[in-house]
Amino acid sequence: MTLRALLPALAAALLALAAHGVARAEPLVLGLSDELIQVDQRFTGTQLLVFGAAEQPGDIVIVVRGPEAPIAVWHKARVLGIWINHDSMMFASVPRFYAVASTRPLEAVAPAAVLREARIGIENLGFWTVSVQSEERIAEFRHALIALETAARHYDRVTEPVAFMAQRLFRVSLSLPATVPIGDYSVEAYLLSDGKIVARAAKPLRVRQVGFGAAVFAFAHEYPLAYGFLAIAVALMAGWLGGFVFRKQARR
Amino acid sequence: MDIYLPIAELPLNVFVLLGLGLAVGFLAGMFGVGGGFLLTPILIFIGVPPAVAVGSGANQLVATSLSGLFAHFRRGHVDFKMGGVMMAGGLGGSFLGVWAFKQLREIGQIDLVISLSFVAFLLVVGGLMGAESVHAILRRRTGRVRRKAHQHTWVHGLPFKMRFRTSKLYVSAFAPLTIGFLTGVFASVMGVGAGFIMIPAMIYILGMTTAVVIGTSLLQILVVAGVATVLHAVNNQTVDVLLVVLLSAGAVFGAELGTRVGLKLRAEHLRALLALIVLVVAGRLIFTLALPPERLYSLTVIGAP
Repeated sequence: MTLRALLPALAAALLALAAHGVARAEPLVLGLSDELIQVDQRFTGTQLLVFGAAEQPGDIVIVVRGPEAPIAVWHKARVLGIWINHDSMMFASVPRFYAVASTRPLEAVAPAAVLREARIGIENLGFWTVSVQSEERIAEFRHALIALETAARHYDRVTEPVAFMAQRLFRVSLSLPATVPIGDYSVEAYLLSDGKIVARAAKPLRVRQVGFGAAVFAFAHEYPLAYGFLAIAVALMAGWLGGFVFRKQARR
Repeated sequence: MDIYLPIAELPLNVFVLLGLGLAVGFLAGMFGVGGGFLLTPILIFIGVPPAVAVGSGANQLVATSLSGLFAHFRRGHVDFKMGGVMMAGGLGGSFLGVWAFKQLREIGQIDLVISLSFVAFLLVVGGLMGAESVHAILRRRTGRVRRKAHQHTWVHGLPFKMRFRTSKLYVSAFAPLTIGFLTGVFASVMGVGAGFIMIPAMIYILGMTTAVVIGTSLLQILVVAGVATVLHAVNNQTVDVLLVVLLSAGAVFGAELGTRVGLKLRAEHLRALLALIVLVVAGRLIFTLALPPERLYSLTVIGAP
């Protein structure tokens, strides 16, 4: 379904949402085009449409937070003439995906302290380390981690601004890459006015492998021994078929 | 057309994978080796996490070696007893190799060890084979005939001798056991069948005839790769069976093509060619190790491939 085809239906959903929200005096409501991203064998990335309605004027910031995991960052250095992983730092609670979009640039929307507290913005991701290295080194590794994940399109500072349509309805389209991490995400919307957060809303988003791929993944992790034997069986069958075809072997 | 690989967790082009399998199968058919030495680095290059490349490479090796084994078996070129002893050693080697792989992965040095192992391995083998094949070509040119099938080395003085009928040998069991053990370690750490080490070792150290060497080595590779696959699947969950299916589909056709081309060449010319390929790959690896890397920093997610 193209986004364009989706829009009339969305507009209707939005109005209903907004009406509902206004009736119950909810200052901010949020909706997603998909609450479950299905990664099947044909997956090469997808678009996620985030939309909603705000009761009062202000700026909207949308944050998509992916599942958290510990990540080790490695630094290569030249040792005895060859380049090897020489130094490392481990970070805990690192979001494996992070996207942020807003109606105006973040610096214009709220002061740094407010953004930091709400963990809005790629500089404020909130992962930490217990490393005993210098502040400078820690900052270098942090920077490297952010640069690597940004290059992998796992961290995204969305350039397209959150757009306001009629009736305080807003929308923004986010792009999820082919290597989007599987797991539980949270999509958050913040309404800011005068540099303060006046309302927030959140919706869960699930990214899951489905179909054949999911079955394979689950099987590999839950029954690793059986999976190993199955993998061999598959290879043996392929080889046997090959032996059939591959009849003439050189005499050496 | 892209397909999403469930264990590697990324989409890859189907035709690229089929083509890669074809190339690897071609090498197997032509030279009688696993082709894994090419497969693993290329898989890593196109974005497959190294651990998945090695685990899936070992799996694909099972398919390729079985395919070649059939042809040799029909001609009686397989010494099952010798293979059995080597396999006993190979089993121990596989366990050690997979355990070592896991430890190295945890301290983040797996890329380095894989690269260094590859370089050392390829240099030694390329050098040895190159020397041997050039010698054989020259010998043929000057018309000097080979003296006899077996030459007795210091190895033949070791205890625990056993009779190996198919290879027509009476030699200590320690020799094939050790060769098998080293093969197991290599297969598990690098995802390569180490046919390169086995074949010269069997010819020069054990004194087996070349025909039986290739068949028996394929048998050894098959079992060791199979064990390595299971161990990788259980310890690391890094075997992507969908990746293997696609590679094998290409490899089956490649092997057929490779055999036909290989038959048209003289044995010593073939060995010289293979030695050249191996040395070129080793050279390229050294180059990449010595030059400053494209990215100084890298990351690994704990608990994911």
